[in-house]
Amino acid sequence: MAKKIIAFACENSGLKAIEAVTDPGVLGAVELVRLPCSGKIEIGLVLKCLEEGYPGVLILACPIDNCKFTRGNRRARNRVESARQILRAAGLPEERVHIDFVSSVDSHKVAEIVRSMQQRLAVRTASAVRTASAVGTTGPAGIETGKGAKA
Amino acid sequence: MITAVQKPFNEIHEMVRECRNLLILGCGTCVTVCMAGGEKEVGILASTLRLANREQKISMKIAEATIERQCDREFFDAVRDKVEAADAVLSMACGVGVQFAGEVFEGKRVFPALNTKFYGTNESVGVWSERCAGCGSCVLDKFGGVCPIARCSKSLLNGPCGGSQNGKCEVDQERIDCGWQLIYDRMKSLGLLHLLEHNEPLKDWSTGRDGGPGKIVREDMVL
Amino acid sequence: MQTELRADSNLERILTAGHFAVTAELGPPKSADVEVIKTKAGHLAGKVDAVNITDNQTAIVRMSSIAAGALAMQAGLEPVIQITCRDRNRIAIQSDVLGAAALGLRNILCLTGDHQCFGNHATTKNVYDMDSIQLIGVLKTMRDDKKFACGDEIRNGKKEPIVEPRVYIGAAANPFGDPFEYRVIRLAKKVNAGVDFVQTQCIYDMERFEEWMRQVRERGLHEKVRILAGVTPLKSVGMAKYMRDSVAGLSVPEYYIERLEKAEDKAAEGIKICVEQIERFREIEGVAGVHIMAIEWEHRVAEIVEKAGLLPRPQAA
Repeated sequence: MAKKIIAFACENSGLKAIEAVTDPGVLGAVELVRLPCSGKIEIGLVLKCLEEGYPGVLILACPIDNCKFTRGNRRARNRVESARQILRAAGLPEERVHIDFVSSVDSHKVAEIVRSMQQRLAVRTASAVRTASAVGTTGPAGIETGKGAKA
Repeated sequence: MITAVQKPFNEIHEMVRECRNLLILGCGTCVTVCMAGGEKEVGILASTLRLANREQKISMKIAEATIERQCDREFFDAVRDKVEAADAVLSMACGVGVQFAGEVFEGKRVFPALNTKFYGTNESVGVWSERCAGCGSCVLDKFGGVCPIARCSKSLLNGPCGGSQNGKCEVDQERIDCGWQLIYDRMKSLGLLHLLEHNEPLKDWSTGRDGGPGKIVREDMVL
Repeated sequence: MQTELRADSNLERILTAGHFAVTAELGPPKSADVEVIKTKAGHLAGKVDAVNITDNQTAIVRMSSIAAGALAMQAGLEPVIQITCRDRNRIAIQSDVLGAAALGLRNILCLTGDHQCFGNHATTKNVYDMDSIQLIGVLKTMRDDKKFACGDEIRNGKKEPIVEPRVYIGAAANPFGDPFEYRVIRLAKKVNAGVDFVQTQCIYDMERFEEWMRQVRERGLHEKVRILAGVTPLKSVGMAKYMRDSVAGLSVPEYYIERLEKAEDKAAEGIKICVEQIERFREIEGVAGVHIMAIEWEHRVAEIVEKAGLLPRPQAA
């Protein structure tokens, strides 16, 4: 079972930043995947990674309004939020999926991001196994109109 | 198209909890377009179920497949083996597909993963809204192409009611447009406002759902 | 205008004789309690010409309009029964109309009805088999053609007499709703459907109402239907602001709110404003009466009617 965090990094920002990290603790903690744009990330892929045993999925995107492809990072943000909602609704820890926005020179920031995620995930696995009761009642369906919502 | 949204996860999980061999069957037509039950959504639901099962120590094998449509018999042939191998099918089609799958595969339990909503249009990316109520006797010619049955919350034929304000409906002032404001605006733009002065008589509701479950038979097409 | 009496109700006689009519409202109880009806009726008897008995207003379950109306009649009031289209189909409504007529209830007001989402049973199925305009038409067909909506004659058997319900048909009119330009056309549609009288939603913006009345007169509608202007006396500044901010289509002019804020006795000032409004209505051509909706303030209606110089009520022959 893989113990590394899988990090999908945009080649225009996050990838450059993380490749410049020198701390071996950080480098050894992640498996890197290069994306031409963070907007390429898919919810299904994120969940598949968790299914395959990756404890966490990290997406490193360009700062909002600085996406080379205009809206890719916004798409990535929406999809990560959807993935987290899905996890929440299924009673699973949403912190297993995380997105952060960095520029290509933010290697210190990226290192911190990875360490924080490691900590969050360590707390998860160290605590008692969650009970079967799940929280949340909404699926990835988004907002519906007044039908039923007013009842 | 027919639109649908996925049921809350807990509800789905409760339904399939006892299965040991589940097939999640997607549909490639309407529910793919409204992003609720296509191949992508099958994958997401399958992963989520596997993760939740692992967490809750439920042992369940989950297979995935998507066919073109679940409302036409011919498309089921491709997944006959998979269906037969499963205890039950979790269909991600609309209510029509869920039922038809159950008819095609006699004796096989088919669960609905979606809540079917309405006949609607894809207004813009990620937004769908209702247009038709399937009343069985279309009156769109009288209202400039805007349906008072489907788009007015009270299905008034001589609307609007007193609850129309700023072009919005009293039922949900943020999300529901007043159907009669839309009719008024359309008729005005078409120069047909005078037609609305005519009092529309009582509707024959028996041509729709109120007349019982519908059936169409084309004698010229029956083999 | 109309000279022959269609239902021979007190309200009809008063309006036909050309008197300025006064109607009020009574909300039935949310229980099977009979006493509360008697109490409210006591405040209104003899002070107004007829009293609207609401029909599950805002989709909150209350004693039925017909039942409460029959009890109110026993307590000395002439009721105006209300029927909304939300809860009943054409079978139930025509049945209710026969029942109302049999009980001696002669005025019926046709309404669309607030959507059930506003009430205490938001998950129910609604009906809306017809709209208020079609409902007016059905009542007219029952009364004048002596036929049900399906075309059957209103008689218990081929050899039995036709006994049609003789009702005075009313409806609501909304001078303030959207689309504004269409509101007079909607009144015209109700007139064409056969309505005898209309009561408007409560008015505070007198200028806008007068503009609506001008358009009404332009179409000659004031000669075909009796229009009663609606008022609701303002009890407090809070109520005035609530009406302004939360009620669809209602605007309350600032000068009323200011008067209430400055007044020592807010309630008395509210009544004063209401009386002034009634006096102004009496001057507007085409306004045949006033409909006072004093929600949970029925005991002050008599005072308003008196101060407006409208007591004693005429006993129309």
